[in-house]
Amino acid sequence: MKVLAVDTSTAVATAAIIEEDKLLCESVLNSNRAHSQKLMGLIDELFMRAGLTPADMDFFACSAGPGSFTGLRIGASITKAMAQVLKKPIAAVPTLDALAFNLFNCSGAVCPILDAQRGMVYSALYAWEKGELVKRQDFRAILLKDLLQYINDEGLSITFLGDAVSLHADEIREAIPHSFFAPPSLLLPRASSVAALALQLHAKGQVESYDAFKLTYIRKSQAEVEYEKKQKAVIGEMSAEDIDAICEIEQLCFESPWSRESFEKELYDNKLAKYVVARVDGKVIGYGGMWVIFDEGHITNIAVHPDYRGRRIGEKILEAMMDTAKKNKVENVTLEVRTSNLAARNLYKKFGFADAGIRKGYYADNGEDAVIMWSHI
Amino acid sequence: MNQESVILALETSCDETAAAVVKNGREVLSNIISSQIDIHKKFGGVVPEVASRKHMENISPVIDEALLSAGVTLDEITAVAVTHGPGLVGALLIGLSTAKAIAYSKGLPFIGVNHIEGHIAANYIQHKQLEPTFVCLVASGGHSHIVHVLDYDRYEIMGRTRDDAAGEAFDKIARSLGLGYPGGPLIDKLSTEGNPMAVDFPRAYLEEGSYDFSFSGLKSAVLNYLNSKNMKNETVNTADVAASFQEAVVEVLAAKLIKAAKDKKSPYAVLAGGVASNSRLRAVLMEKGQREGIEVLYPSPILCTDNAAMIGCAAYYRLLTGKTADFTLNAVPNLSIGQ
Repeated sequence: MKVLAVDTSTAVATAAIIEEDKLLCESVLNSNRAHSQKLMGLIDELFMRAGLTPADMDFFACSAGPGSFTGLRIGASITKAMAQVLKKPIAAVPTLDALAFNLFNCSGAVCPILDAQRGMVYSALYAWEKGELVKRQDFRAILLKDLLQYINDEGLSITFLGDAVSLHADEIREAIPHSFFAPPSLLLPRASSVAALALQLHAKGQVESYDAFKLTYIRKSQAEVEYEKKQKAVIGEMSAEDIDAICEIEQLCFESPWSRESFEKELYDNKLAKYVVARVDGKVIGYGGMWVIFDEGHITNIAVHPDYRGRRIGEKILEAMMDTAKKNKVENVTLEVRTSNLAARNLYKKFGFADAGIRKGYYADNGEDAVIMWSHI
Repeated sequence: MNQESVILALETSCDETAAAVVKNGREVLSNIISSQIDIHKKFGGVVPEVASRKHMENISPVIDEALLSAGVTLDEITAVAVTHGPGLVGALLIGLSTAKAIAYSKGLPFIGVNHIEGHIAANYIQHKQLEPTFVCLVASGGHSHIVHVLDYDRYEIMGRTRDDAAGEAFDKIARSLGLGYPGGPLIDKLSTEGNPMAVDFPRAYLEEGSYDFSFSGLKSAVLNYLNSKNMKNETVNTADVAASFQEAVVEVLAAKLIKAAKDKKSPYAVLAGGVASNSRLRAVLMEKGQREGIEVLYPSPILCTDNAAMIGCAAYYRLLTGKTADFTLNAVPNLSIGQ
């Protein structure tokens, strides 16, 4: 099994050819980007040195983001086109996974950070457990100071790597004096790490065709963000075509999400269930559900897509649900909320909800307690 | 070249993802364009990052479709061509990187093409008899040039815009009239219902003998007119304003092109680029051309818009003179003609 892997998510252009457990050839070039001018030649040189041609590859691997938008696209365009021409699959390797893989079996937590500009980084948190890389926190764009605060609060023993380390070395050292930085040889993306993870994906059948390959940007373009800010959320009733979007939001918001079937049942079979959805620019970005049992309303879920938080959309959804409750002659509404979810608890208080008790260890994922709240309409 | 030439060409310089297969320079076997206009409409113009992301998604299916509808496989392709400038750098890079990898994987010659030269070459596809030398007006959302085409790969720039491109002026005025994006076709259509003599907007001919353009003065005049109407609470006849604005642009473009053709003794006055689709410009030029004994040529609308067939055609003539590129070719956002 032979694979060509490419990573251009940072200022480094790197490519490697791996044959099973054998790293045949690797190139790492860290000189003022210019990936467009250098990457193809760098790949050509690798093949010549390895005495192989692109047609000898069984599949191709590409670092799939997050990272520099333009950088990622140069690597991805080249990899996709090679896969298309040679009719071979592609393994899309998450950039931060590959970076964390550089620090094989490192003790403590591993935190790759890539520059996302404006004081932000693309980051995730990993730990090595018995030689397996385990992701503890998913990819996100986060303010570096918030990330450092979190790591301090958790008291993690931590090693940083990625291009944001050199950019913010002083700030990191000051915030977390006992943190470690990876050495230059491991600090930045290595295509050999991308290739190693690609082989694992291939073994699990997790490869795709060139036309299904997609980059993970995490962030939207500034123009889209600004456009969407101007769009108001509109509340409406849930219908069958909303279920795809609802499932996506459910996955993003909850540790143990409801299944698609659950939502279908709610919509088609459950006469007690009342749902509202919030749409921005026609797209469903939040929803809330309630069971109306005689004169009681039980709120089952409220969720807002992470990209749309902080715009009082949750409040609008709750307002609409309280209206629905009124229309259905409900006198009291109840819900459960995680003890730690102070933002939600404060919102509920605004709508007249008061704490009425605790359900011990209600949440299966971490054994957290639930606060039971009631509101009289 | 005894062997037949079958070029696969890509174009991603702005908001169209395009691929085409062109045989022996002028025979278009396929010309596939995936437009992003609907995506950019809501922003009132092309957003570079959004365009780049969309190119990334569209490029492989567009290539597949170009090959399929041409009825050829990649094994029958003899060279790969791509636009490498001018244009949006992030957008250009998608086509450029993709074309490089295709050429590299198949061991084919690789040709970089100037987008503006591509627009001129669109006329070779449309008019099989057309050969250099001739005079051409290239006008689009990003460019306004009068070019003396000396040979397939030799150009003399006679004039260029000093501020906005002609198409850009159309876009901006359309926006201020509340018509939307892209402005050219919308103003063209609305103008048919308006009186081109209604408002006397200025014509910028610049210095005696200059082939340069300037549209910023006209643009300000239209905006001032709209503002003063607004202040006086008078209703604006948008069709009249559109028609009068268009007339001011068209008159200058047409006069300068015909004068340039006469100056260079070109039997043809040739139009290229998106603005070449403007029906009023075509009509005025036909009339002026007839009077002066100059034949006016322009491509069909599909070849006026950004497309890859024109890139394939231009690439064919570059290839004839051995002008292939190596894999260090970069995207050049402000690449000028003949570079």
